Amino acid sequence: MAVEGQGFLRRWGWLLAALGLLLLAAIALAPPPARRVAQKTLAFPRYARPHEIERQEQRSHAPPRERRGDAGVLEVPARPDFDPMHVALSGGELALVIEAGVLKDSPIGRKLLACLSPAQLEGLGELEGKLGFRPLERIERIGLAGGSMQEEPVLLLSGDFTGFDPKRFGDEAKFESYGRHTELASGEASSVALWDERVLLIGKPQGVLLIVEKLEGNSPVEDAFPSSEAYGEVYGRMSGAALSQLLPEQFRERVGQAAERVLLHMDATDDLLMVAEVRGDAAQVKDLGTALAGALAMGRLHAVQQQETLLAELLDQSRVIPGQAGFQLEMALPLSAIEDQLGECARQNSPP
Amino acid sequence: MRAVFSLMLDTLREAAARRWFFAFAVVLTLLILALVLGLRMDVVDGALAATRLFGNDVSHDVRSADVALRSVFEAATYAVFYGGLCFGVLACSDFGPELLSPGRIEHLLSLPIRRVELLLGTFLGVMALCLLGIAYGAGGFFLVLCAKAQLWTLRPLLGASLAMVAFFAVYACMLSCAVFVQSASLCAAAGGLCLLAGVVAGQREALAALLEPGFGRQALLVVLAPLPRVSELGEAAASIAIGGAAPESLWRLVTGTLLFGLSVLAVGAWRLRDKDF
Repeated sequence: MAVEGQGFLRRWGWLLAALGLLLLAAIALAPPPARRVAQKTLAFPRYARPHEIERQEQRSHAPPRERRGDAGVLEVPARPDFDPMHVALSGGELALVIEAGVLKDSPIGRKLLACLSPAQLEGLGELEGKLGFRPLERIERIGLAGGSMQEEPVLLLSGDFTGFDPKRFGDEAKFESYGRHTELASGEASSVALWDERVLLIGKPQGVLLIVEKLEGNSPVEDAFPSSEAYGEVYGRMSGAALSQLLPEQFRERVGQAAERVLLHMDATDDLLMVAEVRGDAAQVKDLGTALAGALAMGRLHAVQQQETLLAELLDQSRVIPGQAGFQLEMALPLSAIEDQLGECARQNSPP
Repeated sequence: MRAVFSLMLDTLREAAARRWFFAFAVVLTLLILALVLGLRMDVVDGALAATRLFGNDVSHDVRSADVALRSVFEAATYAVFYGGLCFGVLACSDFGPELLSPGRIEHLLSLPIRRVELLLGTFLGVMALCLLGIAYGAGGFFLVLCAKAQLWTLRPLLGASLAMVAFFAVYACMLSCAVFVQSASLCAAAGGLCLLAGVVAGQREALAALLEPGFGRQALLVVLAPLPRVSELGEAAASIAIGGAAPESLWRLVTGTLLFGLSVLAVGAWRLRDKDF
């Protein structure tokens, strides 16, 4: 046996040594252990999940609330039976909703909150003092509603604003009843309105009034935000014109012409997953999709070369899926990548 | 070891007797002479003159000599690095086939020398040749540049010496190829291929980024994993030459490249051990 073993080594020893050295070379040449994205199947948000359908159902039917009437009699007033946020978002160029309540309790939300700087915490405290309640606990959704690109969007906060004292906004803000459910304080530069103790609207007077009219039922609601599209932790839609405003000057005109509408859904249950569906003129939007795919590939190459890990990972998980009258853009940012960017404060907030 | 050393000297003697190397030495000498006589460093002269004239009032528009020379040193280092490697591949391609040529190999095998020592002696001889080439060519080239710029630094030479590390792996491929096929042109092709693969391997992350995540990307990464990172070595050489810090990955680049070369040499030694002449 020993002789056979020696014979084997004599015959194959150099080759085994070569293999061993090759392996060592590969180990030595391997880049430093960088965090890599776990190659798992990413469930991009494409439809409403059961809990989101149920949540939306509840929002469309406001719960009855008892209150003392003028004569001190306990009464249950009739309440509007629709989702005010979706009505407020109707018809504009921009409609964006952030599910702040859900996001706050998501892994990403917890990490972001854990990493707030002292200055940011102080700012949050000041806001709390101004509003008279803890915004993180009471605000359920944050919305942006833009009628046209010429005017600033109206900020919408939905949640439970029972007991909200409008006077905290300052002595100059004089709230008056407007319609059946609204308290409105109008100024020259901005207005604040509280609708049914459920939605707080802040913005330019004209924009705020336009939405209040819809909520009060005084003006028709056209093109209401569809409940079937209300899924994910961030969702919304914007016109091509609104999208083009987010882009550098030289791309605006072409993108504005090619894209008619963009539907956006972002899931933050675990990793940050985004699907943007761009619709428009078939030929132009196809070119836009192809150009975007090319830009993503180039960006990915550049990020790898520049060793920008976060961007490289983001672009690595991004792709353009062509469709009939548009395309879908998928982007994913792993939770671990966000954690790495935020630092130790986020790691301490990791689930065991 | 004495046998290895003797074979090494034998390789050097053989190189000295060749027209290739004589021509190379002449061209290098002429190039250095041309640099001595003809190179005008206006940028540097301007910076030095401005400093003399204006003293501390020199605006930031006038760059200091070392900053102005960075691009010159960088370009020169790349030229020496890749030029030296290409020349090495062409000039050294027939050392291996020559070693194993009929008549000579029988003579060598009749001596009390182990076969692996034959391989090692030739390999080290070529490496010594490479060292001399760098010392003379790159040394002279950078000496003139430094003298003209009045900026004395060993960094460009240190950077260019990384070419020797890359050539270690490249020539290991060439010599091992010679053991399998005694053809100078095939040896040169093997060296060229290794050089090209090394440039590609240096960009493996960027290339992998072009592929969709999955099997294809992983396969590419695995195949390129042990290959010497020639382009990364070139970039490290340029970085060192211009006064930048040596990349943190330099040690792994050098170690990995040398290990790859040894691995390929081991394959050559395995084939040579049982080869009939």
